[in-house]
Amino acid sequence: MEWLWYNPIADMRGPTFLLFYACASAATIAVCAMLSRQLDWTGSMQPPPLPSTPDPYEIAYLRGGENEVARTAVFALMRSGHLHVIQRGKKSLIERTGPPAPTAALGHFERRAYGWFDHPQESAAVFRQGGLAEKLRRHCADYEQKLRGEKLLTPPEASDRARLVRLLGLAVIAGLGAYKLAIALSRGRTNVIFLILLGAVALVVLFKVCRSPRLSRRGRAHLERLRTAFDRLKGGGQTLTETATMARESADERGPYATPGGLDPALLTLGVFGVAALAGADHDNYTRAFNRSTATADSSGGSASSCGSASSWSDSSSSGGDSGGGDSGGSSCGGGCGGCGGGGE
Amino acid sequence: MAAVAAAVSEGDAFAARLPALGVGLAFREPLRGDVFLRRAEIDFLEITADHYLDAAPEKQRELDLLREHFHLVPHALDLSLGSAEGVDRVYLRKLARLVRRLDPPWWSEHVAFTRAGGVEIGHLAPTEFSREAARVFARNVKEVRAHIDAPLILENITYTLTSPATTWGEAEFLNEVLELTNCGLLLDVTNLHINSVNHGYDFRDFLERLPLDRVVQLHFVGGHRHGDELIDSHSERTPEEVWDIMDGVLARAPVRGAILERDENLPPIEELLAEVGRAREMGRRHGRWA
Repeated sequence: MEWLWYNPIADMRGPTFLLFYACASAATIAVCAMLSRQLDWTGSMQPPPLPSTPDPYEIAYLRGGENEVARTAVFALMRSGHLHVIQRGKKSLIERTGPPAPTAALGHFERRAYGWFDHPQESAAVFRQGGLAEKLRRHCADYEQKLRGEKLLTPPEASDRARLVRLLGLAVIAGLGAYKLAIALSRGRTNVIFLILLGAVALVVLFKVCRSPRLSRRGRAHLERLRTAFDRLKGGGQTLTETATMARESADERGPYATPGGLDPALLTLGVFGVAALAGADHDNYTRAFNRSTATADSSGGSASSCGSASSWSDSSSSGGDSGGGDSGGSSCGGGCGGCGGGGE
Repeated sequence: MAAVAAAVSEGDAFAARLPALGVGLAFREPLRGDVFLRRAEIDFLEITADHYLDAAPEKQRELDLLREHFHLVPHALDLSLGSAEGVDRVYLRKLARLVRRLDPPWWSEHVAFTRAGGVEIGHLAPTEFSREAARVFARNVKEVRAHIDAPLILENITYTLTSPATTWGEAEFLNEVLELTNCGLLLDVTNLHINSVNHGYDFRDFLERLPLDRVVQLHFVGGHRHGDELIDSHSERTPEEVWDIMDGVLARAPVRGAILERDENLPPIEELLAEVGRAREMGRRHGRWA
C-alpha cells in the first residue's frame, strides 16, 4: 500500500498539483457536460409544427414556468384596462381600475390574477412565496403534462442520467481533492485552503454546467422557431398589432379585450419573448414595473424564466465577486503558495 | 390549324400535370408573424428566390420554417433570361440549389433581362419583341433546364418603351417565347391592365392572342397613377378593372394558383386576406381549385 502514499501525484509540489487539479477538474467538467447533453435524446426529434392558434400562456409556461404565466396574466389585465400601475412614494404598485371587471369575460388565468389583486400589490409580490405565481402553479398542470408529453421539457430519465453523470464528476473532483488533502495532512501540511477553494469552485461549476435544463433540446428548438416566426410582432408596430387594435375598437360592444381568434399579438409577443420585448412600445408602466420586479423576484418559481435567470445571474455574480475578488488572488497562489496544500518535498 | 391544336394540347398537358394550389401571398418579411398566425387562410406562398440565395442563417431558418408550413413557389428576379450573352452561371447554380431544396410544383421568372454586357441594370427590362429575342429566351431556358428540373413558368412584365427593333406585338412575342421554351405562363393581370392603359390597347384583344391554355399562375395587386400613366408599384389594393380581367382569365385558362403580390404600403393582414379570399372564391366559381 506504500504506493498509495508515495507516487507522482502524492509527491507533486503544491502549485504544480493545483495546476494539475485545475486541469483535471476542467477536463472532468467538460466530459460531464458533453455526456449530459448527449443524454437528452430529444434533440434528434423534429420540433412540433407551429401552433395555428398559439396560446400565449402555454408558450410563456414553456419559456419560464408559472412566473411567466403570472406576468402574462397581469399584462393581459393591464391591456384590457382592469389593472394599472400607480406610484405610491417610491413604490410601484399594481391595482384594479374602475368598477369590478366582468370576470366571465376574462380568461382562465386572468380571472385568477384579477382575484389576487383585491388590494394594491407590489409587482415583486407576484413572485414571492404565496404570491400570484404560486397560486397559478397548480392551474398550469395541464401545460406541464402537455409539454412533457411533447418532450419539450427535459424527460425525467434524461434528468436522472444527468444526475448520475454529475455524481461521477463529483466523485472524480472531490475524490482527487480529498486524496491530496489526506496526503497533505498526513505530512503535516496545513496550508490547504487553496486546494479546498479550488475543489469547491470546481464542484459549483460542475453542478451549474451539468444540471439538466428545464427545457429539453427539442423544447429549446421549438422556442427558437416560435421566436423566428413571431419576431416581427415585437415592438408593437407591425400589422398584427394594428389589426388587433382595430379589432378591439370594433369589438367594444362585445366586451373588453376581444380580438379575432381571441389572440392579442402583444400578449403573444410577451409569451414568446418576455417583458424585454415590450420595451419601447406603449407598455412602459408594465415593463418598468416588471423589470424592477425581475431583480427582486424569487427565482424558484420558474427555473428557465427571465426572472429566474436574472435572479440567478445577480446571485452568482455577487458570489463570484466574493470568491474571486476577495480571498483567492492568483498572485498569492502562484507566488508564495501560502495555502495551496502542497504535499511535496 | 394543326399547329395551333398541337400547341393547345401541349399547353393543356403542361397545366394538367401541375397541382391546383389555390390562392396565396407573395411572402414579405414584415408579414412573417401574420402568415404563420393566419396560415389556414393562405393556400401557398410565393417567395422571392433572390432573398435566399446567399442568405444569412436567420433567413435560412425562416425558409425552413416556411417550407415546413406552406407550399412554396420560388419566384426569381435576376436570371435575366432575355440576355443575349446568356445567363449568369453562378446565379443559376445557386438558384438550382434553392429550387432543389424546396422541390416546388413550379417556379417562375420574367420575360425580361436584368443584365447586358456585364452591366447589372437593377430592374426588369423588356427585350425587343422579335423572333431573335424569342430565340435568346429559348437558348437560355434550355441551359436553365439542364440545371433545374422543376417546371418553369414565365411572367409578363410592364414596360414603358418598346425597342425600335421590335417587329411583333407583345402577345405574339409571348406566344413565341412560350412555344419555343415550352414554359407555362405566369400571367400578371395587373401588368396586363397597366400595359393596356399605358399603351392604349384593349386587354380583351390581347387575351385573345395569348396561349391561355398555358396560364399556370396569376399575379394580382394594385399600383398607382402618375399623371396619365399607371405605375406598377404593388402598393394598393387590387382595382376592380384587374378583378374583371382576372375573372375572365379564370373562366378560360387552366390556372393552378394565384398570388397577391403586395410589396409596398402593406396594410393589416385582414385586408390582404380579404383579397385572397375574393380571388379564391372567384377561382372556385370557375372550378379552378377546391
